[in-house]
Amino acid sequence: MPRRNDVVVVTGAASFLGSSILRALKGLTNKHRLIAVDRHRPAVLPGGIEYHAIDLVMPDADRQLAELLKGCECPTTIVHTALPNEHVRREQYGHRLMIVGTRAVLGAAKRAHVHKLILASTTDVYGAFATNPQYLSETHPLHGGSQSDYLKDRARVEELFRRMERTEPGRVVTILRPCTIVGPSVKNFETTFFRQPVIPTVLGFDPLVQFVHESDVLSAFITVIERDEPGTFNIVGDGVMPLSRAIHLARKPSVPLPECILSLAADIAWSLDIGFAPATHVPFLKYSCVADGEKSHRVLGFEPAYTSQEAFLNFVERGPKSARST
Amino acid sequence: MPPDEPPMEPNIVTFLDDAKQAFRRALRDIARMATEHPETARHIISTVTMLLERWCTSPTYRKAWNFYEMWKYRDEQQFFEVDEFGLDPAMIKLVEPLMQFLYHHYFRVDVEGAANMAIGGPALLVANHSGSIAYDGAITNIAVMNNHPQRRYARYLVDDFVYNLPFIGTFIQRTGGVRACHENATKLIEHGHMIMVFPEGIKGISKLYENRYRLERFGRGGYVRLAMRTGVPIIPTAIIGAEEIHPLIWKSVKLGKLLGLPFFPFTPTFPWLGPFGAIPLPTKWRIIFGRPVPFSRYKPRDAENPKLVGKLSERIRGEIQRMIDDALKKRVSLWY
Repeated sequence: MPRRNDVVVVTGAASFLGSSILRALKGLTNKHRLIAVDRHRPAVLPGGIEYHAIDLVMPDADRQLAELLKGCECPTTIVHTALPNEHVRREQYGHRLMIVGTRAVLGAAKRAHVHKLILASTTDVYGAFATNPQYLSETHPLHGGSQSDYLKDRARVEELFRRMERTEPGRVVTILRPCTIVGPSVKNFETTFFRQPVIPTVLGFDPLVQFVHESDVLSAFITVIERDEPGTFNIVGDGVMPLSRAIHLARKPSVPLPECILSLAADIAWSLDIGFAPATHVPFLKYSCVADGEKSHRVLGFEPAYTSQEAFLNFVERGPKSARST
Repeated sequence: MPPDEPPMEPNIVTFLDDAKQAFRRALRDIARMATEHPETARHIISTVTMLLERWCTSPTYRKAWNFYEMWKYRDEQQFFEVDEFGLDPAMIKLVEPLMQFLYHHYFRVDVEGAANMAIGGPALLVANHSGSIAYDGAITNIAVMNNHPQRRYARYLVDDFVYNLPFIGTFIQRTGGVRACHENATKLIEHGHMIMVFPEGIKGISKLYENRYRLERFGRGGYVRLAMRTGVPIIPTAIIGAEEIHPLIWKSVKLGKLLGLPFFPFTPTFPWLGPFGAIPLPTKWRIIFGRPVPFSRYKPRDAENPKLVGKLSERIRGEIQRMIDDALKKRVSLWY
């Protein structure tokens, strides 16, 4: 049950997830006091939400955050979405944002006795290997770090949150791992991938992929904000489809390339700032990384309104013009 | 006895190795040139991508692609709808005629004990593994489909290395193969499927011809632990006739490693006759389903008891070996 005058602090408020969570909470109930924290001001900020400009990479970020949190005398929830959702070009900044920024948030939370911490992670941290089980459960060890530094940092962020849970038993720490988020308004590098005019694939490989709709991800976050549910949960849509079917539904031609040529082209394009993912992401085009959503059904009561296929079709039909074939 | 040929292996191995090194060196040179001249590289790449985009969005290419898609996805509802483990019914429909031909006319399979297999609910089929290419898995599947009253399809558990291979991995997944690991097997049983396991594994298919029909050790008994934890019965199955389709006279592990396979086979017809050498010999097959061994009286904690697991594994292996020996005694000829 939502407590009166609960305070919800959302870091990364200018990102898609952060701003959507704030808007949804504002529309849902007036009981929460909402605070948005980000380096940049969010483009759309409904009235009644305080905005504080804090850059988590700066050395005094945790002091600023702690002051902000101490000002609220009520149980506080921090939703940490200030993480890059794709491989960052400025790797140093991305790495510092993930590690230094998360440490700042957790340090401030410890000092200010924050009640609940929620992390927006991703199922990519499991890594895409040929040896993955068909459905990865939450207890499966995270091996994505061996594939790319970005995933290693994401796994480290989860590790920091779990360590916080172990050393401070009174708090509720929830980690949500959504799979590929698609929808009319979300923009991440997977949606950009499907919006290209021609989609490159790896010759001879056809992995299974799954999608979750942006509104279902939002409702999952609202559920864990309103209720106390410690633990890690995969947030996925029902059903899987081969990558070739996703490309077919998007009505795009696909170009199968041998893996070495695709990796080389991706690496060259990435270093020249033309591409959108380095070659370390090519294993996700070869092998499946499909997560099991059974725990979120059972414990959270999470019932996605869109299956994987419906979510993807919604993205194809309602996305911007360039997504549809002309 | 290995054949009396001049040793071909070192030359093929070194040649392929050299080719691989040269290719890698070329790729590295291209990458180095691109990073040393970024502006030129960027210009080249943007021109090439622009031309490609222009061609791929041109009406002719789209029309050609539409024709290809319309031919390929004639039955739109059925294609690409995979079940939760990647099985594509349209792919099965595609390969079934060939498999039925192999089953009825080429290998002329005789099935004994079909009543033992025709039980409802999940079950574990344990069989001996042979032949360099896993025809026995596919043919046993067809046998189950043809002889089971509900026309069930047994899912087979496949070793890891297959999923690293380009086209074969996808094909195996679309026709019902699932990677062999505990989580997958447990989930399959939860969904009520029948699973086929070959505990001999690679050791089974890499047996030389002189060792045919002598069962190798049945792994560490993982399938017994699976049966204990889930309580499904084990149906021991003996497959006669699969050992002789590709009589293995020699195998090379080094050559196989180069190609990503566990070993490279040498038979009287392969690789001398090229791809025609890969056609299996039309031996006569018999598939014998033994009496199901119930596992409902074991508790999941019995799976931690290695002695019990080993004893049951040996018992099932002995049962299959006995079925094989009995059938071999009754066999008149390889071919009919």
